[in-house]
Amino acid sequence: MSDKNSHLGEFEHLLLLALMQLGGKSHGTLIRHNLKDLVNRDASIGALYATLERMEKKGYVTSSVGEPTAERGGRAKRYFEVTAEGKKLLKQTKKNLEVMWQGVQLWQNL
Amino acid sequence: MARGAVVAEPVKQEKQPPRLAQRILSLSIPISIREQLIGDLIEEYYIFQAPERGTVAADLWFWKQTILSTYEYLNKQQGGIIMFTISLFIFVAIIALAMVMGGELGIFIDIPILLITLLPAIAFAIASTGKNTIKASFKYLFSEQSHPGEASVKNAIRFWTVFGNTSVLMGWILFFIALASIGSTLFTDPTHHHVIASSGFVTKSLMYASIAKLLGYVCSQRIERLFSGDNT
Repeated sequence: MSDKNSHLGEFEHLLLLALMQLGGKSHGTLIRHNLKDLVNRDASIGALYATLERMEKKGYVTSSVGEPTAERGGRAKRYFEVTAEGKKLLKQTKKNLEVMWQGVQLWQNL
Repeated sequence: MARGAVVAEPVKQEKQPPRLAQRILSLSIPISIREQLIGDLIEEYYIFQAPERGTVAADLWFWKQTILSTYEYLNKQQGGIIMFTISLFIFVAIIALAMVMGGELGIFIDIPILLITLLPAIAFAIASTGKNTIKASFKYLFSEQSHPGEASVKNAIRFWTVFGNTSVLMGWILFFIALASIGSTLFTDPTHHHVIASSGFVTKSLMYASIAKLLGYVCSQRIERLFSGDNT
């Protein structure tokens, strides 16, 4: 559960944002492509599932299993969705990042 | 896939994703997400990889995903087993090193005393849990896959607990026997050979009993942690 000590790792942050971008429920293939297309992050499907499972245990996402489909070799999809707790933590993370970015002028250091 | 779910007929494709890779994934990915994870890879193979990059590149991509995903989950699942094995190895190595530093390894190894101390402990542990528990008690130490059932896990924990506790009690019983023996011969044996021999006997039995107790405690704790659900 999110409290003042909860924080998101970088990949967790990206995954939650990908789920929000895709809107509603999304499955592994779409989430992987969203990350690849938008931020050029070619994550393995194993890393993606491991992180989503971890976040599900923390209560930031929920998942449900769909019906098996033929184009997937007769296998079902697992749909992931951000919970209210996850959205709250995303909002807090965004706020924290905005505070930390204030006054930072990166081009001066390049 | 949820148990009992209806499995749709797979679409007949000319080229299948590598079957060996799928088999490896089936063995390494936890059952809770196995079907969905492999399904995602097959979907991406047919819809994106093979049409856009050709089957050779798609096969290579499938293998890459298999290796990375297998590593991810084996590392996560088997990490505890590796750490447990390393811990046992370090424990044995430290005991052996302490023995070597204390003289030589041979003087600390006494098979008859080891048997006197440990055999009753093993016998009581079997008697309190059943002979079929021995195999499971060792197997569960190195297994992080599925839950074997509450009764079976409780029996395995009891096995290691009884083993450790009985070993310690045997150590103390042997200590008191040796003490009584020393007391009865202290004034009748002017050379005190009997006292010296009994002291060595009792020290070794207590040492073996303590090691057995420690092993029993560590093993019972490991099984309890693995199967109590508190292994995040």
